[in-house]
Amino acid sequence: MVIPWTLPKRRDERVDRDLFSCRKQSVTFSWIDWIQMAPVPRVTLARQLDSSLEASVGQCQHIYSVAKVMPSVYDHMGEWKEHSEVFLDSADLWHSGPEREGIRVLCSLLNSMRRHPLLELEPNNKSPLQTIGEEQTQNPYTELLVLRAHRDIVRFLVQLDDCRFASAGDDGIVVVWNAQTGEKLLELSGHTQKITAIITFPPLEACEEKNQLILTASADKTVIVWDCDTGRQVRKVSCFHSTVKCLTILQRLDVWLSGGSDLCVWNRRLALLCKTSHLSDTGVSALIEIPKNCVVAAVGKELIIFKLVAPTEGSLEWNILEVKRLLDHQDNILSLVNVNDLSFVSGSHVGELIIWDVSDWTVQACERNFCTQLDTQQEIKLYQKPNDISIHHFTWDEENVFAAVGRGLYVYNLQMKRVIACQKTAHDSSVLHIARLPNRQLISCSEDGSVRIWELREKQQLAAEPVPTGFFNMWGFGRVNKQASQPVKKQQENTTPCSLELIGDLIGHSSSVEMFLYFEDHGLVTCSADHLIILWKNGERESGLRSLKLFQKLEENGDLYLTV
Amino acid sequence: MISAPDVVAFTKEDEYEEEPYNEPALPEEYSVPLFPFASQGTNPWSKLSGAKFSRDFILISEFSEQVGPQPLLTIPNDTKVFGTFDLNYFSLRIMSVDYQASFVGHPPGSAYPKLNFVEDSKVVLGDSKEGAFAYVHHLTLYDLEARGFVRPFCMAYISADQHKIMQQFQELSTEFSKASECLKTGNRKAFAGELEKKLKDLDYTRTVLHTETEIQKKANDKGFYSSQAIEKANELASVEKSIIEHQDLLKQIRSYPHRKLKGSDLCSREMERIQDQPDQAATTSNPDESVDTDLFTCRPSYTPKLIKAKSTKCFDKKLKTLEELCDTEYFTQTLAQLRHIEHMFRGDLCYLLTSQIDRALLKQQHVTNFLFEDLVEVSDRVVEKQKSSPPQPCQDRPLSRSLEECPIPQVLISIGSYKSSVESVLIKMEQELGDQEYKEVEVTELSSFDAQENLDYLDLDMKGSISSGESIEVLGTEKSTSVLSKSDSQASLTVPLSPQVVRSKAVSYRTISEDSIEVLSTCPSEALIPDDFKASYPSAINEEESYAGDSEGAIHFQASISPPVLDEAEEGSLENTPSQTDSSCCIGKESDSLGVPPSTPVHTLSDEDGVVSSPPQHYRQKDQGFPVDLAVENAHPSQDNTSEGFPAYELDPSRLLASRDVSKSSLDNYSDTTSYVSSVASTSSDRTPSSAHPAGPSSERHQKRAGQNALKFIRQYPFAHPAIYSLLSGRTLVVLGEDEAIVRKLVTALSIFVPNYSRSVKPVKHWVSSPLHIMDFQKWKLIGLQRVASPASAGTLHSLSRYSRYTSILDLDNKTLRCPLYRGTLVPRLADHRTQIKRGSTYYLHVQSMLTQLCSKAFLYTFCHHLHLPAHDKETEELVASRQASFLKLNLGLVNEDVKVVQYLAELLKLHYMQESHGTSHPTLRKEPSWRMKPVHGGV
Repeated sequence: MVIPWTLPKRRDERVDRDLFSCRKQSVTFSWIDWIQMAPVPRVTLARQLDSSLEASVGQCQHIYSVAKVMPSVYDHMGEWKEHSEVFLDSADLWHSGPEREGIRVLCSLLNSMRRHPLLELEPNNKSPLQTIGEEQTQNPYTELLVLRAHRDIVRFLVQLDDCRFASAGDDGIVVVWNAQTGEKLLELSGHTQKITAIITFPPLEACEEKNQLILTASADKTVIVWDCDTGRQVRKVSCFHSTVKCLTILQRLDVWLSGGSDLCVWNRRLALLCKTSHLSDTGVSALIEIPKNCVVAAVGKELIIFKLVAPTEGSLEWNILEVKRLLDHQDNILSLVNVNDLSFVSGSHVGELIIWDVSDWTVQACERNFCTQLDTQQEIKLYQKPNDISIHHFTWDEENVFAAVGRGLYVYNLQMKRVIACQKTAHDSSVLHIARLPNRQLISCSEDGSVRIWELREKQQLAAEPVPTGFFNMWGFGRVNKQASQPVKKQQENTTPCSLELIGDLIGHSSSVEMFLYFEDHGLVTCSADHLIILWKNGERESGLRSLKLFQKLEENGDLYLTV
Repeated sequence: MISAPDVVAFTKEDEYEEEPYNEPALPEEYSVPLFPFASQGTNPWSKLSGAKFSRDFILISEFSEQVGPQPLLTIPNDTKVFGTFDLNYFSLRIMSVDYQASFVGHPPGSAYPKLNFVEDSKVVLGDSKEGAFAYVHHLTLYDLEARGFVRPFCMAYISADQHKIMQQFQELSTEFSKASECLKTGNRKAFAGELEKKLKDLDYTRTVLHTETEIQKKANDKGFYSSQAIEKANELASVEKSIIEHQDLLKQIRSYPHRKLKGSDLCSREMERIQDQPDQAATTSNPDESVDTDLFTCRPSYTPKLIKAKSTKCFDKKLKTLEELCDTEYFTQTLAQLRHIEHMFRGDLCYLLTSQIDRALLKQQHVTNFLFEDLVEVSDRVVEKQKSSPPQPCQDRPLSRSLEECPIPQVLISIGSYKSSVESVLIKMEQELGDQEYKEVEVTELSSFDAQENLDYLDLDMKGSISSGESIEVLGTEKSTSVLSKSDSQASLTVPLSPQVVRSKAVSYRTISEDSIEVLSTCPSEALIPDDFKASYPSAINEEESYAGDSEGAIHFQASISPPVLDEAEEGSLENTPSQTDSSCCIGKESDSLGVPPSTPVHTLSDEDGVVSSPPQHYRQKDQGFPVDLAVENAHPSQDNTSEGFPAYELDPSRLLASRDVSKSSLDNYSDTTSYVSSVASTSSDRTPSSAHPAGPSSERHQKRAGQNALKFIRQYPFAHPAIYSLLSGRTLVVLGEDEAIVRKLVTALSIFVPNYSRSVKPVKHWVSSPLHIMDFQKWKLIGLQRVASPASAGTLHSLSRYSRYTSILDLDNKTLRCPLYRGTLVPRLADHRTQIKRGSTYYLHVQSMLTQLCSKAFLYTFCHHLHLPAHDKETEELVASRQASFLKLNLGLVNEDVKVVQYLAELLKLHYMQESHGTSHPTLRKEPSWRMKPVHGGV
């Protein structure tokens, strides 16, 4: 069913197109149902327009130019590039005059594009998405609490201590919450544009100031240090030339780094210690610390290793030196994490997962074949989109790296150097964030608005199943899903020793779930593009806690005689 | 009898209800003669047969100094109500019972006229000829132009039911006192204003006279005064005397102890406003000064007139109307209060008693009653709670409390008489708490002395504000009071007697049959009333005392019967009043004929069950299961026997209460259904005592309709049980339909099953047309949703299917329900499609009682300590969980899904309890509890 894009006539008229994602190699756009019932088209004009859509390059440019004149379009839009994202503010839809006209044009263009045979595909309908009934005995989260303070997409959650967390998003405010009660503790406002990075700055042991600090970077090209106990704005730096997209803290040296179009090193008092030369226009997309005072920055397709020179007796100057560039990725690097003391891992837009050695920066292992794992010929044809295999996020434990690849989840074993379990269509659309829970569980959240809980289980029937010995099988008829040309994949298919079992899902958000935060004691916090934060609680545990509190209260009030 | 539910379902409710009254004609020989008064539209419960009026009404009369007793107005102001009843005659009767004549200006031996802050007197009288019985409340208002500055008025509640008056005496007294207080407050205000004007006039007159005299003096320098000049001088002197007199009066009226009024909620706001002014005056050291400032600040617009030398007391002048006497604002308030009283006491005595008991019991369940009780009632209760709590920190409290809790009745009695007669001495007593008994004796002895002396004594203490007892001569009353208390009460009370004995002594009952007036009991002054009884009399002056004593006295009384004292905070006067009134005002004959034992809080939920016609085995089962009484476990066991008399209430209460208003149903606005039913609705609406204020939607009528529709729903839909289960277990039920009216109707009907989060929020949304969002599910537990045929509804349906795990969906158009499976036994009892209940209000009551029972289970479960906390450190959570499960199953007798209902209610209770005690510390979160998700087991 194709529903044409239409503009609502009045502000109160509600257009419901609940997260419709139509994904093609080239164009992604989704219609987000906001909490205020304000539909906002989010248009991603992707970089590669395939031949069948050549005509729409012009259209995309048109859309882009339309979008650009709108006042509320974010300023980080540069010139038209092959891969650009356009965010339209909901307010645009009710503008009169040129903006509304522009939006109208946009809608008609989108409609025309959607009528393209390849685009009319509804991926959701044909995906073998694993589902789970509503009886989820292993899902402990039976209570939820909706927290509402943000006025735009909430993109970041950061844990402050055992019972507090902060949220930040496109509305430029940071909100500090109590994770137990859901109480809004503080609202920190100082940024004029959306927040692009947030990080906690743990207090120094020696320092008498024990207040927890957080650093936020914003598209308004500032970084603010907040005291999140008092809500005070401690310091503000506004001498950046570009938006800071990532922040990292080197606690050992008590400095922090900001990554934009260049890399800057700052001390606690926000004095600029040193900076690199201009790296790239797109800027540093990810930044991690590795031993020997080095940092790895992901810039476009490259990983650049920088060495930080702390002041010594010889020189009082800080310095940052480029040590090495790693060029193994074929495409933009989207994710970069430290896995353990020995290695770090990076993932790219085209599904390359590379594990690097932290000491000599060599490739330990590489996994590139996620894209070929799609099951049928048919689907390959329909789903050949790099978007679907971009690696958005990693998490890890001692043995495994868990990767969010496109819509799927993969478990890569570091010892065996191969994928030991996978769930190719874990969600309806891209998985944005994953995290590992204690007991071999994994949580993932996705653009489709759902959060799912998975458990990594050993496959029991593995021994009983005869392992195909390869060669004939490779050419075997009837097994269309086995690609002859990909023995690696075949091997994986047959020998993944583990499986990811869906044990529960959390439905609550009406739009893309951007991130979540797991609290050991208080449950799960999710944030979403629908402006909401949801606190998911273990119902039984909460019930017990409430009883405990109740009896405490009774005792305090001296009402216990009621129960005698 | 057709009993198939499906057939029944399609019978129209109204027709169905009519059935019992349109029975096919019996053969002549079997027919029972009709009730002789059936033509009047009454039923055998009616006692109206002899009365000339159709239902109870309130009459206000005045003893006019010009024309004698005259009726002023009736409430309701409808001639149909009192019909041929002779109001003039009855006014004469009721005014003549007021033993205290009005007190005239100058008491012997006193220099200036003294104002009496006269007690209201409360009398019950009957007129067997007219078939009328009345509670009569006498009060006195001040009027500068009236003889002795006073105008006697009375308000009478006239009913044909003697028992009603007797048994509701206390309530009537309380309510009428409120009305009276309102009138008197307004009157004081008006009187003060009048005095101020008069003073200005006098002042002006004095100035004029003065200048005239001066002119005369100057003009006449012969050295001797002309007769004219002497006359002028005399005139001037008399004006000055008059000024002093009036100033004194003003001072007196101002010095009225305003702090004692605060308990009155009716006009508290206005009172406070006007209180500021007198308080100022009181605090100023020189009262004259304050008078002067008032004169020029408060009433600058008034232009003084010259007063003629001869004060004319002519009889042709027009006396002020009641409205003029007490300030329009207060007058309308009083009328509202009276209408409220009329509304409140409408209907049969049995019904009044049951509803009072009902309310009292609900009040006891203060932990659980927010769940299913109507918010209006609850809020009312909150108000009451607030009302009862503020006096706590007040200064007088420790004193009165300690005194009234003192076990020796004598002390109580003496304090009572003391307070009633000389009200402001109490302040002094606070300081000398120790020897107050001695003081009391002193005063009573003093009172037997010469008047002048006594007054001096009082003056000494009260700085000029004298307020005395209630009748003509101050001393006389004092004397009589002391004599009475000595001869009657004191003699008997030296030995601590049981309250009943005291009461029977105190109550006088005499029948004067020749006169056709029976004064059943008079309680003219507080001295006559025994302590425990008096405590719940809000008397005019000792307002605060009586409010404080309201509960205190009740508790004391309770304590004297059954040693374990109940929770006093919850024990309002209400639950005690029936029994108290019963035994105090009525002599044995009445209480016997009534057949209702003294009602005590002991009979609780199980008694309410008597109302419904559910299979008896449930009760038995329940009784075995666990004791249902919650807050009254410690009630005296011996009273359990008395409560067994209650099956008398098995009669449909609506029948009982329908008696009075049947013929008058046309008076009520509600006339959409049969007149019978509508009269039920109107009669019973006194369940909401705040109906004097603009009535909220949650009236009795509302409940009745909800009950009716719920009954219809239960009969019509086979899946009513799982739907109700969804509501009870906190799963949002979405009623989907195209027709708004139908959806709204069903939502209203089902809303009686929805547990509330708190006292303020009812989680029901009657009609939504936009797609639902997760916030909606968090907020509402019952939602009426519009089904739209257009493609725009795709979103609505999409969000419904997306959040389907949190909802049960009742599709009205397709008659389907998607919800979890229900296999419990609780809902079938609650909503039996074969139920014999035919009326909405009855069914509503049935539901209420069942839900109260459920609440009590949830209460037990929530507050059982050992169920939720591990007994020792090593105990695992599993063990605790299994203990909970076995408690729910074995002790509470819950099966399958019923467990979840109780668990959900328990969570609500926990949250609510913590929220209540927390106060406002978590304003953002705790307004509604976190939303619980329920996995679905299957659909229907």
